[in-house]
Amino acid sequence: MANDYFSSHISEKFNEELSQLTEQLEKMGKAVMTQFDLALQSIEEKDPKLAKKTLKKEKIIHNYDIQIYELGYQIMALRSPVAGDLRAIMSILQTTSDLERISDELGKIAKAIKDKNEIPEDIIHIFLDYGNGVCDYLNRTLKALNSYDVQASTTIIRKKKSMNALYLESIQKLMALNKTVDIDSMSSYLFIAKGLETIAVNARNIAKYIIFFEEGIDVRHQARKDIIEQFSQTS
Amino acid sequence: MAAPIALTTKNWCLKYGKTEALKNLNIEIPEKKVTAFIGPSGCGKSTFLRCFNRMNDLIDNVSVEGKIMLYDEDIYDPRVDISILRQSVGLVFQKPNPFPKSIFENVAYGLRIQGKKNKTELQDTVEWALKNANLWNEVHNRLNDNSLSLSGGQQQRLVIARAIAVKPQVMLLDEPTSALDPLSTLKIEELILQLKQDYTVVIVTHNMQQAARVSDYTAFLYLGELIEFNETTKIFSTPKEKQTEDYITGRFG
Repeated sequence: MANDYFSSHISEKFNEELSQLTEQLEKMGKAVMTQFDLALQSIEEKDPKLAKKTLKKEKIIHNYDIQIYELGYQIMALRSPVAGDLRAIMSILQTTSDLERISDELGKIAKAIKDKNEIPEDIIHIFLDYGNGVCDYLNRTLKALNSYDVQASTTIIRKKKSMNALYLESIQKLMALNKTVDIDSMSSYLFIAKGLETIAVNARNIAKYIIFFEEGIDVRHQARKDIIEQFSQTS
Repeated sequence: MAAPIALTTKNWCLKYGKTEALKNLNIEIPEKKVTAFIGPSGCGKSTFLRCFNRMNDLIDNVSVEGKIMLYDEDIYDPRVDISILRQSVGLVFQKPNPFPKSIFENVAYGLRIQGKKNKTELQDTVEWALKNANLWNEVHNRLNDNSLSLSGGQQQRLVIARAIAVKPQVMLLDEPTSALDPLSTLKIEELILQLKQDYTVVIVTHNMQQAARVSDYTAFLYLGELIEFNETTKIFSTPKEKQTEDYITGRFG
């Protein structure tokens, strides 16, 4: 549906506004991925400067959030969109909100890294394993978003269990190091792992908004298996 | 529980000479709900609306096929008295058309045709109809003024009062606000929402937002065919047919 949807309106101006909205969203997604890469790099290299740079990226994301919100609000006020147009704008605004939350989580993670002088090597490995998994998960979600791909979105939702397993594994590995790490540091590390888990949840939300736009069905509160049953193509 | 059906069309076709204007329309219009007909100009929505009180009978060269039922009465049965049908199925046009008479006489007009002469009964019914048309407070102290002294919005509400004075079952509204300013439009829309408590309302409108605001069900017509008929919330959020989606989002043609 989405491929030619944003260029098929009789009003050229409306087409331009919708295209502008989707382009801004794509740029925001790319900016969040850059921020994620920086956050992981700051963990890997134990570099407070990179962590500081990650924090600074938040401002760029906030600006996208404001611009997209304003444009979406303007379109709603002036165009009174319905059906696919309305679903597109609602999905975009919701996605923007989740991307902004992801950026906030990355900022919090970067701050936690910046405030820690020494992070043991085995803990860094735990974060990198889990962090790369979540980063890949988000990247796939944003690819699905760029092509409004319901099948890819369903796959993102299908992977919920394996993402939860990755989170539990990272927590278990952290807890196994309980005796070698002081309680303040351990709570920071658990906080970082929890932040990554929240990002995975936000990514899944975005996959659900894609389904809403394309199919017109609100799956936000549907069970994973029900979503898979409805939208997985059987070959 | 689903609402009872007030109007039903079965394989309804209408031709102007050899030109097919309505093609095999099947629809069930629920009682005491507002049903909107939408579609591009020339799609047949006004023609279809006017079939429900046989206004098209007045046009030369019109032929019809199929059935239209008002509850269980076939309104195209030759035995039907058209003047009684038009009391049961009132029609309000795009442009307000009050008679060049007093406000009171406009509303009492249909009642006098029905043979009602009792002054108190006439006064009570005129007051009731004007109150139900949300016009009483604005005109109660000048009922003998000429109706043409009223504003466009007031005239349209007067016409609606005239229609409901004879206690119809169905109210047909053919673009009732297209000649009105936004505030008068809102007053008519409020009135439509009140009317559906007692009457079945069918409205033709070019204003998508109006259809979305006031109707419970929406029918989309195109080139004389009924493309989609569903609850208004479904039509305007997740229409099933691509043609409907293209029309309501402005991607048509």
